[in-house]
Amino acid sequence: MKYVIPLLILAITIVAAVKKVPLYDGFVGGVKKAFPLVVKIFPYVLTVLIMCEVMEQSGLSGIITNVLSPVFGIFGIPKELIKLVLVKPFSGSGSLAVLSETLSTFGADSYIGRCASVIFGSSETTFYVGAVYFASCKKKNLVKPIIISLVSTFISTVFAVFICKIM
Amino acid sequence: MNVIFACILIVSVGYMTFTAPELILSAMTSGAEKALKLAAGLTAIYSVWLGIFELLERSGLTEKLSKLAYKPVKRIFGNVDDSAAKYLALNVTANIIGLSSVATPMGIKAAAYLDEKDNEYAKAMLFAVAATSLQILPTTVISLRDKLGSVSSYDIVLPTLLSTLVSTVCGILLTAVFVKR
Repeated sequence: MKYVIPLLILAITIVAAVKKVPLYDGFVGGVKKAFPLVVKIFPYVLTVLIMCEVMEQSGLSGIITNVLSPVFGIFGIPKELIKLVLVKPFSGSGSLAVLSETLSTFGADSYIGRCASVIFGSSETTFYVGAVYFASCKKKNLVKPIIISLVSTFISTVFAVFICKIM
Repeated sequence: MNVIFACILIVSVGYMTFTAPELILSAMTSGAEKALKLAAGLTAIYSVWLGIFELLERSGLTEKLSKLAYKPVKRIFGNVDDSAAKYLALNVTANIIGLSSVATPMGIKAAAYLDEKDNEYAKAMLFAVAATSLQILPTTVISLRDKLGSVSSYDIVLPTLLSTLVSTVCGILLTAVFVKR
C-alpha cells in the first residue's frame, strides 16, 4: 500500500510531461488554489471547533454521547465516533475538524482513529450536495434522495466499524 | 447547521454559566486556537494535492477517463441524452478521482439540465451518487493521519474504498427501487 501514492504522483508527473504540460507552472497553478480554499473553509472550521470545545467543557458532549450510545451501540458504532457521524452530513469542514480532534485524542492508528478515518473518507456532506448541486433547480423533490443518501451513508458507517475490526 | 449551532451554544453556555462561568471564554478561545493549527496543516496538505491534481487536470486525463464512465452512466441513470450523460460522466469521474473543483460545476450543470428535461429519476440518482461519494483515494485523510503521527497512514485506503462502495451501491439500489422512473 505504501507505494500507491508515490506511484500515483510519479505517473501523473510523467503523463503530464509527455502531454507537454508545463510542470512548474501547472503545479504552481494548483497550489494557488490551496490558500483561498483554506481561507474559505477556515471560518467554518473555527466555529465548529469552538462549538466542540464548549460542548466538551460544559459536559453536554458527554450527555449526548451517553444518551445516543445505546442506539449506536446496537449497530456496533463506538460512542467516541458519534460526534463525527452526526456532524458529517451537515458540514464537510466541520467534520474535518472533528476528524482531526478524534485522531489527536485517540491516536491516528487506534481502532477509533482508523474508524473515524474510514467514515470520513467514505462519506459525503449530504446536505451540501443538496444545497449546491440542486440550488438552481426549479423542482426540488429532494426529500427522498436525502433519506436514501442518509440511509446509505449509515449502512456504510456500520460496515466501516465492522471492517476496521477485521482489517 | 444553524439550528444545531444555536441549540448547542445556548445549552452549553447556559449550563456553564452556573457550573463554571470562568471557563467559557477560555474554552471558546482554545477551540479557535485548535482551528488555527489545523488550518496551517490543511494549507500544506491542500497545496501538495492541488498542485498534483492540477497536473492531472491539465493533462486532459479527466476528459479521457470520463469517456470510460459514459456507458455505465447511461445504464445507471436510465434514459438520459448525450449532453446529460457527458456532464454526469465528468461529474462522476472527477468525484472518483477526488477533483471536487471539477466535479461540483459539472454536477450543477447536470442537475440544471435534468431539471429542465423534467427527469426526476436521473436527478434523484445524481443526488444519491454524489452524496455517497465513490472516491478512490482519500488523499486529505491520508495526509492528515500522516501529520498526526500515524505510522501506517495508508491502512485505511482499502477499508475506505470498500465502505464507500457499500454506500454508493446502496444509494443506487435504493433509488432504483424507491424512485419512479
